[in-house]
Amino acid sequence: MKRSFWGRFLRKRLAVVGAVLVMALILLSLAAPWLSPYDPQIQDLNMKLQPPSASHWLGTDEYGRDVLSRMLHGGRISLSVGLVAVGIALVIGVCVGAVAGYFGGWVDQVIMRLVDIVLCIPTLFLILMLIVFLGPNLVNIMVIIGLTGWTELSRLVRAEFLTLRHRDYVAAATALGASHRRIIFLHILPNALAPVFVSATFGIAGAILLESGLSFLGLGVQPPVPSWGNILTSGKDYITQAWWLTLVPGLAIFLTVLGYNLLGDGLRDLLDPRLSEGEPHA
Amino acid sequence: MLRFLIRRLLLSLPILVGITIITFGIIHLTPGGFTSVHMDMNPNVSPDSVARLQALYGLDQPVPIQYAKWFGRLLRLDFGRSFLDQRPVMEKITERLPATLLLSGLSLLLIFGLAIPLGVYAAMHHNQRADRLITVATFVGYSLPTFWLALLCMLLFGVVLGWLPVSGIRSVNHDLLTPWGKFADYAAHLILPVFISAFGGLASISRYTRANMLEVIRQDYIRTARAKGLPRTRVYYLHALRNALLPVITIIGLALPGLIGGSFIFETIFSWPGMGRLAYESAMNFDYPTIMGVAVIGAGLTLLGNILADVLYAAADPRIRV
Amino acid sequence: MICWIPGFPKVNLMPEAPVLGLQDVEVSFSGQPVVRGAGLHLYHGRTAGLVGESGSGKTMTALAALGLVPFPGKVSGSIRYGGRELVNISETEYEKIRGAGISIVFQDPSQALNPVLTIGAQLLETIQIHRNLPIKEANILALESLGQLDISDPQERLKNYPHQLSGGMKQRVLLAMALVCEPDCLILDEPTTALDVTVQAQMLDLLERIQNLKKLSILLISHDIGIVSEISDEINIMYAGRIVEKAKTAELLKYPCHPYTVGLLNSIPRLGCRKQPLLSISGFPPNPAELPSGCAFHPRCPRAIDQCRTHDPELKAVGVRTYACWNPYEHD
Repeated sequence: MKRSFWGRFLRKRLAVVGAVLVMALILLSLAAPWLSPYDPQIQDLNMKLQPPSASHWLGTDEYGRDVLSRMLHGGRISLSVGLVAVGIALVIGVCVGAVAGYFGGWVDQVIMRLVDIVLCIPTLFLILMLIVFLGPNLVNIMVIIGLTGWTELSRLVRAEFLTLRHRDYVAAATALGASHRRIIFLHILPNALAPVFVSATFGIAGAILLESGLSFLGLGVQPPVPSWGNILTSGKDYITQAWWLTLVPGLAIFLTVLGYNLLGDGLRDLLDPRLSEGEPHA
Repeated sequence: MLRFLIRRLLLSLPILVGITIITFGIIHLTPGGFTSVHMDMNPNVSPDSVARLQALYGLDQPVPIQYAKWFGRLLRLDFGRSFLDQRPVMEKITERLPATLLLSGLSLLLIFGLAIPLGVYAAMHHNQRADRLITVATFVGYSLPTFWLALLCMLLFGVVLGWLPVSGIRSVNHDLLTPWGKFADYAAHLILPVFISAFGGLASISRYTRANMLEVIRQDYIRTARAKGLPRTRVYYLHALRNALLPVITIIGLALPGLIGGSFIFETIFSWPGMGRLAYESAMNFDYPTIMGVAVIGAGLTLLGNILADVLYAAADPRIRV
Repeated sequence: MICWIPGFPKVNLMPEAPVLGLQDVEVSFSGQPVVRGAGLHLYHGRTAGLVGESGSGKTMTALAALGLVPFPGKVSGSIRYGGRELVNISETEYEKIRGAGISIVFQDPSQALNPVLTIGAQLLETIQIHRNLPIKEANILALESLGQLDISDPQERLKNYPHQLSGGMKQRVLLAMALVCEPDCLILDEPTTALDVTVQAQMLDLLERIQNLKKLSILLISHDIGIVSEISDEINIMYAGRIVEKAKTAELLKYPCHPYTVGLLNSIPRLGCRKQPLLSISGFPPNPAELPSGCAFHPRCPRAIDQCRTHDPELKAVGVRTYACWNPYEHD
């Protein structure tokens, strides 16, 4: 009854929907410079707050800029915030978790107590402070979201390492004189990647949501650089006259986050055998 | 049990101290700051008076000494005075805390009151239409940007329909209302913030409950319970749910920091006079004593929440003795 | 005479009518049969054994008898209990029979009790679901049922949680729970597998005593033909979801006909013959989704002939014996 990974993946309709959404948004963002009908920064005050039409598919904003072009370029920003932030979180989380889980003992104790401390600071509060004090620019936002998002990952990786480090192939590598670094990264890590991968997928969804939330408070990527968050934020003041300025970016954020969440859930079902084995008894 | 509580409380003290060090470090080791925000733009302020102001607040001393002084005052439960309006930080926090606790408490109740039955129902109808519907709804639920949803709801219920107030905790004419009217006024102001802030949690807790239920109902003891002749509903709601809820209890503890400290987005949107907005305002104004006060109280509540979750867990799971 | 009182499924029978009769029972999951036409009869006060390797469909047969085949499994055929057809009766009707008419004790006692409820709660709810008794009397009944199974200090046990009991103790508690409402059929699924050898013998003794006391009909399921033959009156051998041989215990042990039965008997380690290599059947039971053509056993069978590869033998009475085989061992 064993099917191939892709065969099983395709049977999960929701996961496929997620993958299609994610792929579509990535492709649209990559192709933004070629797809955009207008320059996203060009203002045309004669064309202020135009509803969607044949020349401006998604209408224009309060400066007469083309919303479609701004959305396409904003997508690049939102997606790169998600990817870079999760990348940073991934590097820190994997290293911290790997060291704690691999060495165990007091190293593990010390590291995990420190993680506990970080976990007890409300993440959003920490982010708020860091952004206010360091200033809200794209790089800071990516780094800050990444710096505050690694704790869950490190716990996950630690748990994997705690079980994997007693495997025979690790003992064999140790006996052959491999260095700790080599064992951690070459022998154990590849076997611990499945849950990390799933968690990273959810992490991207979370980071995109977080950036837009921060933009909403004026703490995200700053205008005139377009991000979905700040298009929505400046649009909300015109919500009664220009509904598309609120609706379009909100929907874009929603669909992207939905895509990553569906994809992550599908991957988890496939990669985590606990959830897909056996039948319920009742 | 008492020994466990004391041990846990003692263990959380170093964590609390660690949190204050991190927060203090972020505030004082980063560029920019209180005096630059309030003075740099003002041509009437001489460098001399900036220095005097910094000396007044002790900002000219080395950071470790500042921290030691602050910590010394904290031991006497003195959070200092706000840079912004010179009022004691303690006072500012105590007047904001009830509003946040009210909002978070009600959302938590709503989350657990709705999410758990929903998750159980989905698990009972695993892979049937009801389950698929709930699954899709939960994905939509935790993918929706809540501030956007808040905006749309404010527009719909507040502006278009005019059914609900969209900001603050009470109306302008609140003091003129009858006791019953005051209660109704509070309730009306609470509806949107509570529902919106519960929204994301609702989706994830129900999904989590469903996953736990699905795992539990594969256990042998569920089959035993069915084989004794117990009806399906009793098996699900008594035998399976008690086991499936154990991990959910831990989630309550983990949900607390989000609800207390992360509420500033909702509180800002709904102009809710709570801790989240206090944190936001104090951070934006570089009001150090208030930021530190909020951090201590927020972290303290979080740690208490974790201990509470542990105690509940021990009470619910006979295999764990404390 | 058969009498049926709803909610109180106690059955009085004429001597030789089976208490529980399974006829052509088939259990399938998404079109793939796991049990393929099993027939079994349990008689008053007697024990029938059901023996086969793991994955042969024994447990699924038991679950079918209790109406507990997990979703999306489908059951067809006939399951008669006290003259009443159970296939396709409503869930509420079945709930009245489970635990009060037909009981089961599953294998692995360590997993079979709810870890967050006391023994008392789990025992009392069984009583209360089937009998409308005041709490005091239910309590007395619970204590009695524990005492009957040689459980020491029953008062204290009621307050215990499962993790506070030993494996053997849990097994007894499960038995007490299965018997407390006086069922007339008891299904035991690998009742001794999880126990160590000394406790196994005690358990078998206990079972025989209880059976004589309550005139129970027992269906004993095990992969171990040695254990089963110790207390069974009749043995059914199951392979790949089908009964391949059935006979009175003594007869089966002395004159096994089906090569699979012979293989199972040879796999019993005998005391004093330690040097002899353990003879068992090579290979593994087939996956229900990929059954071989003809007789499902032929790829592993030492006596397979051409006919076995093309035609599936049916369970038939041949002379005094009943088996499903084209080339059985012959006895004169």
